[in-house]
Amino acid sequence: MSDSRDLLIGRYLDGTATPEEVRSLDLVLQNDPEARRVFLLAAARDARLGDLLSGTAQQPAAPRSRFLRAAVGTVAAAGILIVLTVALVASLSGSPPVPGIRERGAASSRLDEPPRGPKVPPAASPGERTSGLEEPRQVSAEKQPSPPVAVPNVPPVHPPPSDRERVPDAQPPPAVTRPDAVEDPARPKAPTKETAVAAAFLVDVKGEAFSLREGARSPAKPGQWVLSGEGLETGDGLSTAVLKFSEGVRLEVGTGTIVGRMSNPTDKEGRRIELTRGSVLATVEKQPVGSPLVFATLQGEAAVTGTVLRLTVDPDKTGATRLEVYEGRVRLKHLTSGKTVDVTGGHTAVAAPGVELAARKAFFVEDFENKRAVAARWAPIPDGLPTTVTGHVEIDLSPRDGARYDRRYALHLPGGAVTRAAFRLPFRVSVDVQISHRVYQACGTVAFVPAASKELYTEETLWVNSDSDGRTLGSSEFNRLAPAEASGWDWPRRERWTVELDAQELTWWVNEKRVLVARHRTRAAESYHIRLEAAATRGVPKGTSVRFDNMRVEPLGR
Amino acid sequence: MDHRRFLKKFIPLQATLRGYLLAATRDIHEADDLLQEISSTLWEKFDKYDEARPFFSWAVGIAHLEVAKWRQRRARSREVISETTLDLLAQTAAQVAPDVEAQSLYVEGCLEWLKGVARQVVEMRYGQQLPILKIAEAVSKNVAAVEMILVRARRVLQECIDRKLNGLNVEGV
Repeated sequence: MSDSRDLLIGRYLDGTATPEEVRSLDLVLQNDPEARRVFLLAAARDARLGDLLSGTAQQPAAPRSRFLRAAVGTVAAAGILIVLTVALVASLSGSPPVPGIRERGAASSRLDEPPRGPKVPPAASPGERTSGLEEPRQVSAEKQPSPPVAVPNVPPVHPPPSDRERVPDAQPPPAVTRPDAVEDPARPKAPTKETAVAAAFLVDVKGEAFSLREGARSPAKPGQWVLSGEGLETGDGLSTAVLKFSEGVRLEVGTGTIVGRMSNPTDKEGRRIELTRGSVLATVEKQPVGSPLVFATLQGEAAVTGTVLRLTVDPDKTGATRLEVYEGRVRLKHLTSGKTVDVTGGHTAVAAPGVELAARKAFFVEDFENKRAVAARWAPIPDGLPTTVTGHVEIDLSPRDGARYDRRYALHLPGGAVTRAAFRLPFRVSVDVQISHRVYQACGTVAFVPAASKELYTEETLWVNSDSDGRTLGSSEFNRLAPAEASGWDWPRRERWTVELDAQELTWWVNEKRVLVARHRTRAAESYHIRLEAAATRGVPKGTSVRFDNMRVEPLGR
Repeated sequence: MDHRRFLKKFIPLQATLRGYLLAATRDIHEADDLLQEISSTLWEKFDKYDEARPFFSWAVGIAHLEVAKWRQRRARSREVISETTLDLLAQTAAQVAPDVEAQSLYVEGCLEWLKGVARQVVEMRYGQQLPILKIAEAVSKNVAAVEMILVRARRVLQECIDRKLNGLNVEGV
């Protein structure tokens, strides 16, 4: 551990950190997962110390076994019994059984109140016992566990090693026996073996992913099966995962996504994938007749028989669901209103409170595969770095001998392409972006050029931009810098950028996570061309490139 | 019963949530008030909780909203960590929850390993909740020295806790 980090955390929690130190700690915490862990443990430890030393807490019962989790489970049972009994007694007497620290509304004024710690609900009398609960260890009234502790974790389930090597390509999902001997000897052993069926194979993980099973969360690794009834969560930053199901279903799980539960075609509910938060890009081959794949969210259900689609669920409490269909047809049902709509390729629909359920045609869907269409839709940036526009837009940032680099910033004129069409506000543009190397001053940009402008570069141009270490959003008049996050980036870096532009503001999401937003400083134009571009200094390694693909522009339904 | 199901899920996470709230607010009293609000809200909404979703994520999501409201009301008066960092901490909280629970069991036993001025300073800081300046006056040291005493005392505690978590003998800490 480092003195400076510990001192910083200590000063923060002691209330003596200066604003600069708080900002410094903030940066450390954003960039160092271990610092976040240490910080949370320190905060929880401080809270506990306050309880113990200010005399507001009762003694916890320490586990007697060195096998912590098993012991914790036993002690937990005792703690839970006591608190549950209190709650049940409270509920029988008519008061709400809120398991909080104090009775709600009991907070008193700071001035007349002694230092407080968490108040544990009053203990039940030793003779009280609630039927159906775990048998507690004998705990004296003076030695109640406070705070109560965890019920034993359910162990993560892994497939047999031989299965990890095999990718199930259009094969029936295998049955997997849950092991009753778990890796952690401290955890309680399951009494019997139980057979579960694999729903999907985890092909790839970038960053962090977790298996979700009965409320437990355990790290997920490529080569692992996801069983029927389980879910998958990807971490923040740039974490993504790829799942492969039988019947030709492939799911790319975006950053910060929770796929709550997955089931098989043989299950009672059929093949169903619940999306709680975040986004998935699904490629679904033609499904058996009468057996569609159903994506379920808080707001809607999308029944799929064969298509490519992207489904996004807002992380807010409404769980607004956006369906983008690239190919084929998907039927989307809004669960609240019961209305349905068929969404075909190139269309989008949103299931959300207060939004009319309708398929909206995207302005523009571009995969750069049709050379003629690309030439008709895109204009190259003159004099810029070499750019390929077939299959994708790729700008080669390799140093160019004899080329002119800007004197002030040492940058070459950007390469890239600009849409010939202009798009009327408000709209949303999404595009895949790949930056090949982490090198200083090799940056990718999506820029918005006012349609009325006679030049490609004007002061009214708006942009979002990312280089090796950060992201910015702005124009010649303002510039917003996103908080540092580069330490978690994998290279080459692949992201999905989404930008919403309306008359009031410009908002940027990366892999469905909002990273920056800014209000216009001057009046927005009515419509904009979109420019995909990249630039670099002479110092980047040969082969450095930025690539854009799968762009989509659609009207905003507001 | 719903009460039982709720409590079984909520209680193991309480210490972690409290740590998270203390990190967000820098004030244990504010943190406890918020925890009270959050536990009430969680209970009120428990019938809408989707069992397929991890309870902790759901609880932290609600905690996050309460913290956001608190920030609007109070945070301007105090420099606190950013929204982005709080997001990251919320994710980390799920991972450290088992360690936090276990830690809360061991803190008291480990206090025994603090002796002399270290124990005295810790008692003043957490028991009497004195500001660092007052502690410095009381023990006739400067503020920086008191801060380092606290850093080292916390480190001794953490080492003791870690050893106990790993089932090691803590003699000699």
